[in-house]
Amino acid sequence: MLYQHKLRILSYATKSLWLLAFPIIRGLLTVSVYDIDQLYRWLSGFWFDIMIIALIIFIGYLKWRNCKFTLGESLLTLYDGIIMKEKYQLSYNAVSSLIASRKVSYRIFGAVKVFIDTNSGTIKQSDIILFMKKSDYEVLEKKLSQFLAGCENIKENATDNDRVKCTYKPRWFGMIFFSFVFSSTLSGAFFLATLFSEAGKITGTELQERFTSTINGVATKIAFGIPPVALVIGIVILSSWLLSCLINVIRYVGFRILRKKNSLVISMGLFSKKNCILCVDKINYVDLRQNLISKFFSMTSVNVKCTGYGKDKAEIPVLIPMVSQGHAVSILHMLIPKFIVNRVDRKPSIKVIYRYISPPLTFMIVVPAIGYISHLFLPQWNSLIVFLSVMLEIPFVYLFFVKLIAFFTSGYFVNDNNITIKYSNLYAYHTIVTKRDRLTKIVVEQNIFHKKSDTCDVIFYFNQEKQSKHRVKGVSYSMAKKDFFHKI
Amino acid sequence: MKLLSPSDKTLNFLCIIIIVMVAFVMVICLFFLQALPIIMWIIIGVFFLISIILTGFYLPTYFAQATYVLSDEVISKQSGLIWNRNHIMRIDAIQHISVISTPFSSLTHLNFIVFYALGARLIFPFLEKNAALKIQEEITTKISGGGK
Repeated sequence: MLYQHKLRILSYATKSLWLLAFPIIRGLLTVSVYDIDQLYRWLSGFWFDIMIIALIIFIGYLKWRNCKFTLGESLLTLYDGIIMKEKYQLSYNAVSSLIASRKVSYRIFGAVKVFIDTNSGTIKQSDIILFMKKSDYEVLEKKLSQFLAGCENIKENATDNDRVKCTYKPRWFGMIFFSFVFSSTLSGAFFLATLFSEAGKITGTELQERFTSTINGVATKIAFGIPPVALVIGIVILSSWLLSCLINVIRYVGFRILRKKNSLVISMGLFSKKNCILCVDKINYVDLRQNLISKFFSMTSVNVKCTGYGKDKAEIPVLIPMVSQGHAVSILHMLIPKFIVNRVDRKPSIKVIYRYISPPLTFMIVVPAIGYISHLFLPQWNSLIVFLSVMLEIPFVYLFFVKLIAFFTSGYFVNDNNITIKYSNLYAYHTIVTKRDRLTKIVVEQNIFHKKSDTCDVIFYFNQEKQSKHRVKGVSYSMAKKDFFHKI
Repeated sequence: MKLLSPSDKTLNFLCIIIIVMVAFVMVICLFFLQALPIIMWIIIGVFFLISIILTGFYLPTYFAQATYVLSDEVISKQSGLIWNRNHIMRIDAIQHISVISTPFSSLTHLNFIVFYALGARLIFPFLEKNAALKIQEEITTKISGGGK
């Protein structure tokens, strides 16, 4: 019977533990430990807080003590609960992914946080989360790898390298380009907001005020003809995006994939290292993702949909960070040869081009119109109205070109074994590649306008934990009927 | 291949419910909005129109068009008036099936079968309870390997 790493006791304790601990430590630093009177005064002031902290740690200890696990040859058994006892058995056969996170703080204490997931269970978080000792994790990793490889094929003295079929390591500029393309202002802004709110708890509002005044100062100094408000928005957006880009670079440094018998082992990270084992049989689909810039350079990144991988909101389930399209297909063939990328043959009819371009086109007309009307009523705000109209118009013009290209590239291919779907969702282009047996449900949707042009939308649903749909717009209804109505 | 369609009893029940609710709203309006006759007649008119569209056109057409098909490999549902949708689900992708029954469902036939698959689900609404339970049993036997 194995226990989790002792670091787990602290992680069981809530965040409020630190909020209580800091004032106590600060108080202790102001007194001399050799002066009994001072020490007594400190203790009489803080005894209740100390008791609360002791209680939190004690509950954490009880939780840790009552959570045990065993690593069998084909089964992981977990015993959990203080009052309500739970025995959880998980066959390695059901595991779709095993992710080991080794942050700097964990590495110092020799701990590994392990996330184990299956195709069932809770959607928002992993089915099993364990804080393991490094040695225990190595045993689990070895047993799972052996199980996935098929125990009978493994020699007793086989080393890890004997089982490796191929390795892929992306080039550094591909990683930088990937971070550049897939950085989001929103995640950077979220990081900044979290940083300020957490830091604010310790330092008060001083840090936030200083940041705001610096931004205002910079905006006032460099604003020539641009309203300072607009410049502040621009600075915040740009700095959030750059921060997100930097976080992505740090997260994916050292990215490497090993293909073993029936598993893909992905390692990445500079400070926070991650090791992910994906069961190849449990991969639901592969998604070749592009945006307008990467499409222009014929570059693509490949994501893989395997339950558990990329479950963390900030994490992208990347398989190949950023390579040329042809290179991506050949790497994919090397790593997971069963997923074949085919050329789509069911494409949208020219009669439905309006369905692709009309939504952005409408906004392209509406935004300047609203800007012009606002200018008539509020002439004193002219510069801000012009700036905002231009800023709002840019995304719609960009979207118009995205959708125009999507019309020419969208479509699907199906045969008895494979499926390839190409479609666009907002600003992103997706190429979904999977096996036909991963297809769960099809919806063929046709409204009264589609009937005239004999077209329809085909919505694909695949085997995965969370329901998500992939819609191909405006393909031939008769073809879709032939492809799916009797057998999917 | 088995072909099913929603029960006419549910259609009648839903029509009655709608008519009763609209009548109730009209009475409430007549009592409380007498001081604002224009608003009162607008509300009454809108509700009356909605009830006419729903009971006289939308629901009867929806019920006449909706069909459920159970074949050896797939289950499918065709429904919709303005948006005609064909839902097709593989039987071997189904993980479990649940039947939801409402009170007095033997009279109203307000029963629903929900087919849960990994990453998708499909609902067959308004079936007779025995038919719903029979389908549940048949498909469960098939997916558990008993039908082979």
